[in-house]
Amino acid sequence: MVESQRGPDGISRRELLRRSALIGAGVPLASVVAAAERGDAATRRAAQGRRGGALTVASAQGIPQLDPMKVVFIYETVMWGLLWNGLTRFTQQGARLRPALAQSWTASRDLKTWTFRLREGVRFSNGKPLTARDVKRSIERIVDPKTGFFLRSLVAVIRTVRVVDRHTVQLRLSSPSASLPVLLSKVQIMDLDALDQVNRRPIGTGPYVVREFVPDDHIVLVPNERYWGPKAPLDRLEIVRAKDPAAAVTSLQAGDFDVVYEVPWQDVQRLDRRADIAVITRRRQPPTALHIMMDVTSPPFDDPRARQAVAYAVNRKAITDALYAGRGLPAHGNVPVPSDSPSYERRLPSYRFDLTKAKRLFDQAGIGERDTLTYWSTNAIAEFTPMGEILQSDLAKIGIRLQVRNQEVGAWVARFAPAGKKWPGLLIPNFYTGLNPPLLLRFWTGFCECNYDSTSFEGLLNRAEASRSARGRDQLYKQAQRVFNRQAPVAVVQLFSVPVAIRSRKARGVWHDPGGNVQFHDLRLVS
Amino acid sequence: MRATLRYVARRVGTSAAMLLLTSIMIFVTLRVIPGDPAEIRATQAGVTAEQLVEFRKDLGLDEPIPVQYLIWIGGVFRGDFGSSYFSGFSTTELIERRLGPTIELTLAAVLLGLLGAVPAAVASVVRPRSFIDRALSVLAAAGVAVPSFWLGILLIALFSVRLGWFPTRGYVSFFQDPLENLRHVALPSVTLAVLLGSMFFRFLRASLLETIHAEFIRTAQGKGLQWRQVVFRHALPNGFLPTLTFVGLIAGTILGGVVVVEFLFGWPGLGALAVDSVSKRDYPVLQAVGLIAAIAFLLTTFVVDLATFALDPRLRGRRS
Repeated sequence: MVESQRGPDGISRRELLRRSALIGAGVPLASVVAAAERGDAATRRAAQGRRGGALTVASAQGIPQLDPMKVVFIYETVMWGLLWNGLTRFTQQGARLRPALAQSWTASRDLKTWTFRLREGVRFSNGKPLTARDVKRSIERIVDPKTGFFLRSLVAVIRTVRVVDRHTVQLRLSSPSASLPVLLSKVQIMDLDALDQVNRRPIGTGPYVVREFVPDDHIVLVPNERYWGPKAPLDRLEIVRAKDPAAAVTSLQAGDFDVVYEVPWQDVQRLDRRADIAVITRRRQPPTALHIMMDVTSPPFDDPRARQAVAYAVNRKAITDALYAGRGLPAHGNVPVPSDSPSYERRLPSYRFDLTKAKRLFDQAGIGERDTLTYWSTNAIAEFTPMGEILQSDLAKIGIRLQVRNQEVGAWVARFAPAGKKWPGLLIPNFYTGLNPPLLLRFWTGFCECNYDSTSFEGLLNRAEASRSARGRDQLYKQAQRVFNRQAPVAVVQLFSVPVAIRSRKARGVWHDPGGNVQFHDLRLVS
Repeated sequence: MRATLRYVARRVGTSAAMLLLTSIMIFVTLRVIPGDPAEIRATQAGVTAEQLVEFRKDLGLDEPIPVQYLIWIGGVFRGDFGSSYFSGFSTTELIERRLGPTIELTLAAVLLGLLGAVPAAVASVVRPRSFIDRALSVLAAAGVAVPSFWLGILLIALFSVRLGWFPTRGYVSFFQDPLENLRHVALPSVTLAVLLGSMFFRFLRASLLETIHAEFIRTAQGKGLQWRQVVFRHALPNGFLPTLTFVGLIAGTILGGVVVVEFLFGWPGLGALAVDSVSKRDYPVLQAVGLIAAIAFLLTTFVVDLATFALDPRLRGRRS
């Protein structure tokens, strides 16, 4: 089994936690020293292997298009690190944010004006030099509501982008944002003059370029000869669609695939026992929050006691062990922050599985044997329905009826999304990912389909963003967690990450960034 | 000749009417089922209700359904089937890429199915109720009952994983590498051929058994013809005609089987495209694929009817 976090220089846990504290709260306010060369060298040391060769990555999901600003399915973000770069990035060496296209940045005292100095000499894959104008246009496009970027609401704080000089760009924000550099790691800089060719010959600054792309079927990547960093580790990287997950696992075992993204959880332990295959997950601070939503504006879950009852009735450990091969971090504090994060509030009241407490709270909320709750599941995520069945069985022990309804994904999502719909009496499994903890809390500021809208909670997060001190931010995030824990807008089950299987004797270099996005740009053949 | 032309004209007319009705049904059904492309985007956290309103407006989904239909059908008559909501590729281009593999898989499966079914049916009929007949009948029943999906996985496990003779999935164009193309199409086409061949066998056997007891067969035997001549020159041509009709009738089953097999083997055909598009509610792609499936079905039955008409002199004599 391969750990995705420990590098060859063996970062100590204390050092990792210290660095993570910086990231959990944003970046230092002083200018970041251009330590890119140190980071790149560490990256190179870490990704031991040889240059060259070809590998095939498979997934049951497809890539329907290549525009990084029009991502619809989270799997499409695997292309970000391959074809594009943002101003900042994370590397395999822990949770520290590093320079990418920007070599340094500074912020004003009020955290509303950010100045980014771009790396010089960078060219797009078509040879065109990268300038501040390209950065300005890319950021403006991503903030434009017409583009439909799925994280637009979080970067909408950017009010204007100004070109200071050829290699300097200044962002003015409508409100303070200490985590702006982290958010900008999600903003890929494009050559927008070539936008009409983005699905045939996308022009980026990443280590690879596209040789062939068939939507939802396969994509073939070859090294970008103009890449500003070390040459891409492979001569050819093919990312293919294997529509059936079971068939994908079979093909992995047969050697037709080298990497399989999101192997079925039921196969994880079996595959991991093989000497030639490793299943990689992010063990430390996993960033994907699996939760059960309730509509906090409709009965019976407009009563916080009813929501707390559900949170007590969820047997997190049983779900993690039975459905996620024990690879998740049960969220006993009922907050979407992993308990090993330095930003986690350790004094939270626990919501450990307790049917007696759940029953008492259901009684107080007026939910009893005459009521029927509905678990609204979908067959698109294999674990959702069994999770509902576990909950159904536990609730039956205290006389609460839960019926499990399984829907096709379109019908499933139509019932509750986007936020603002009313769905009384339903319990809906879902997961959020894509942001580093504790930034993940932001998904509950008006976006959650559970209709959670708490002024105190949002106020604390806004104050955290406006805080210049990392310690101050941490404290505010912890206060926000206390509010979340008390109000229990959802029942957070666990924090986990997508399992990726790799033929470990042949390849290495797959890792998860702190936001949960799987990175393939360090993928290489084993020496 | 005039009768034939009148027949063809009548069939073309009814087919066009059915196609129009089918297009309306597909269009309306897609918009009535829960979920639309904008809501599929909402599965990503962070997408707001305002963004969804913008998406719907951009995609023209805020117009009344009849208006949307007229816009779409107008485009179809101009050869423009629209673009995928998710990839932005034109539907025509997406379908063009996928049509070839689907046709190849279908033809290979039908051919293999017939190659297996015809000799098996003849062998069965020449020795009715023998061990061979019973064994073949049992195998055919199993072939119909076994799910294609399960059979495909079994074939992959045995021939790809264990023996390594064939790849587990994928497609290589015949023009790129004929040998690799044949290696890749082998398992998917066999998977589908088992079902089709079993269905053909059962129908052909029943048809042949009926034919073999006909008076003209007794006459042929009475004339002193050898059994082989009786079977191949008289019984098979007559018994095969209903099977030809049967091929047209099971065109729908063939299309459905192709979807499953394409899914399992990662075969980049229309069936796989349709399955993807359903879950994403990619309306333009679904509408186009649905229309093509309807055209394929109507064309198949039309060609079968014409072939029957041409091959069976009794039909031509009746019409004139």
